[in-house]
Amino acid sequence: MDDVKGPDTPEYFERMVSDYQTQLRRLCCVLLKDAHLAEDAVQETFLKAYRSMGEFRNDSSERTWLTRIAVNTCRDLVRSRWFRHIDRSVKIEDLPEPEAPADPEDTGLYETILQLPVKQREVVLLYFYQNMTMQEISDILRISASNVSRRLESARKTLRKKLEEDGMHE
Amino acid sequence: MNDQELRAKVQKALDDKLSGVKDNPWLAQRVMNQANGEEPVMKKKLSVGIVFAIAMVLVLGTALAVALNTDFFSHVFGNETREKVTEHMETYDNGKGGTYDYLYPAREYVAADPDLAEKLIGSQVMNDPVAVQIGDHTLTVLSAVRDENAMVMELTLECPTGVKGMNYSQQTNEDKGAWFADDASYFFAVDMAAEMMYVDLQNSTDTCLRIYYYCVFFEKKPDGESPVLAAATVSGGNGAEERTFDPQEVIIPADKAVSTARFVSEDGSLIELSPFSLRVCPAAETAVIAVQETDGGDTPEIVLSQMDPGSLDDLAIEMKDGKGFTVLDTGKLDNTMYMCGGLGEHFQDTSMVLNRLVDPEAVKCIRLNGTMYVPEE
Repeated sequence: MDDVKGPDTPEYFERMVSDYQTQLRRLCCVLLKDAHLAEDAVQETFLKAYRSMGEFRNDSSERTWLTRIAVNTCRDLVRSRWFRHIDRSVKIEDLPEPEAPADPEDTGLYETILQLPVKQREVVLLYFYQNMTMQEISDILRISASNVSRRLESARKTLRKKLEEDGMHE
Repeated sequence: MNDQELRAKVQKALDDKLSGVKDNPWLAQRVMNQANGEEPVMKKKLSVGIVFAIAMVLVLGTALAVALNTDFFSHVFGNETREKVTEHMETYDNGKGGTYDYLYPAREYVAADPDLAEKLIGSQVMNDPVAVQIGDHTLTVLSAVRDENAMVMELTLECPTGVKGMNYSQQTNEDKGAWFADDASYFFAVDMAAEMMYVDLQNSTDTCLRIYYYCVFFEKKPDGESPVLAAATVSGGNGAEERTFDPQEVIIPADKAVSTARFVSEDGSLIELSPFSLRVCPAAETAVIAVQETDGGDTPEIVLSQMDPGSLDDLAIEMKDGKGFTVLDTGKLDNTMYMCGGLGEHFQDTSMVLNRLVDPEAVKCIRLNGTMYVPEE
C-alpha cells in the first residue's frame, strides 16, 4: 500500500478503489443477490467515500469504514419501493457465471448462504468471508458484539446442517 | 467443524461462485468524474434479470402542461383540494373473524401563501413537465421541488380507457397513501426513497389521476443532483413470480436543493428544517434501546434502535411572531404528509414532509418531546 500520496489525492482514491473493489463487489452481490444492483451499490459506496474522505479520521480501519458504507447502501437499496415491489426470489442462474465450473458442494453452500435471513447473511459475509473480528462487525452493523455472536451462532447451525447433509462435515 | 474449517469452506464456495464478478477498471475515474459533476451521478440499473428498455422520456413543450408555481403550491401544500380531517376511529375486519379499531389522527390543512411560497422555494421549483409511457398509461411529472432530505411532486397518471391498477381512497390519503394493485400494468417510484402518494379526489377523473407525491430520500441528495424516477411497464400474470418488469429511468430535473436551517438541542441533537421538510437527527447517546425481532423468528435482540417515528409524540414549531403550529401530537394530530424513520448512518434519524410551508428564518424554536431546539449559531 502506497501511502506517500495524501488521502485527498486522486492517487490515494484510485489505490483505495483498486484495493477494495473486488471484495466490496462480492459482498454487495451476495447481500443484494443481484450483480447489476451490486455494481451500482459499489459505485455508490465509493462515491460516498470520495465525498467524505475528509471525514475519515482513521478511528476505524479503511476497510471497516468502506464496508460500513457498502452495507448501509445495500440496506437502503433493499428497502426501496422498487426492490420491495419486484420479485426477489433467488435465481442462481441470474448471478454471474463463475470462471470455472464450481463444485456441487460449493454451489450448495453458496445457495444456503444466499437463502440465510439478511441479518445472518451479513455476519457470515463479514466474519467468515471478510475475516473481520466481532468488534469490527459490531462497528459496521451498529449492534453489540453479543448480538453479532448470536446471529453468527444461528448462521453456523444452518451452514453446518447443510454441510452435514452434503456429507462435507466430518 | 471449527470456525477455521467453516471459514475455509465458505471462502472457497464464495470465491468460486463469485469468480465471474468482474472489477470495473474505470470505476475510480468514473466516481471522481461524478463527484466533480462531469458525469450524471445516478445510473441505477434497476436490474430484474431482464433487458432494459430504451427510456422514452418526452420533455413536453410549455403549451402542453406547464404547471404554474402557484397552482403547485396550493395543490401540494395548501387546502384548496383537501379538507380538514378531524380525529376519527375506523373499524376493520382483522381477517380472523373479528375486528380491530384504528384511530386516524386529525389533519389541519392551511392555505398556501403564494408570495411567501414563491419567496421560499419558487426559484427551486421544476415545472417543465416530464412524461413517460408505462404500459397503456402515461405518467407526467408536472412540477417538483426538493431539498437534501425530501421531495414533493405533482403528477398525473392518464389512460384514455380509464386509469387502472391504482388503489386509492380518502382512507389511503389519510394513511400510507395510494398503492399499486397486483395486476397493475405499470409501476413507478423515486429511486432510493420512501414515499406517500396522495390522490386528489376533487380533481381526478376516471381517465386522469392527479397525484401529489411526497418522498423522503434514504441518503442526503446534494444540491446539483437530479433525482431519478424508476418507471416500468409490467406484464405477465398476477403472481409476483410471473410478472416481467420493463424498467426505464426518468431523470427529474429538480437538481436545485432548497436550503435547510439547523436547530440544535442542549444534548447535541439536531433538527434540519426546510420550508417543507423536517429531519430529526438524535445525538447517538439519546438513541432508544429497544427489543427487536430477528429475521426468521429467532430470539429477540436488544439493539440500538432507530429513532422510530412512533416515538415522536409531541412536535411543534414556534414562530418569532408568537404564532406556530403543532406538527404531531401523540397520535391525535398529524400535520405531516409522510414520515420515514431509520435513516442516516446510525439508522436513528427521521425525516418528514410537512403538509404546509414554513419559513425557517421566522422560526423561533422547535419543541420535540419536551426538548427545545433553537437555531444553531
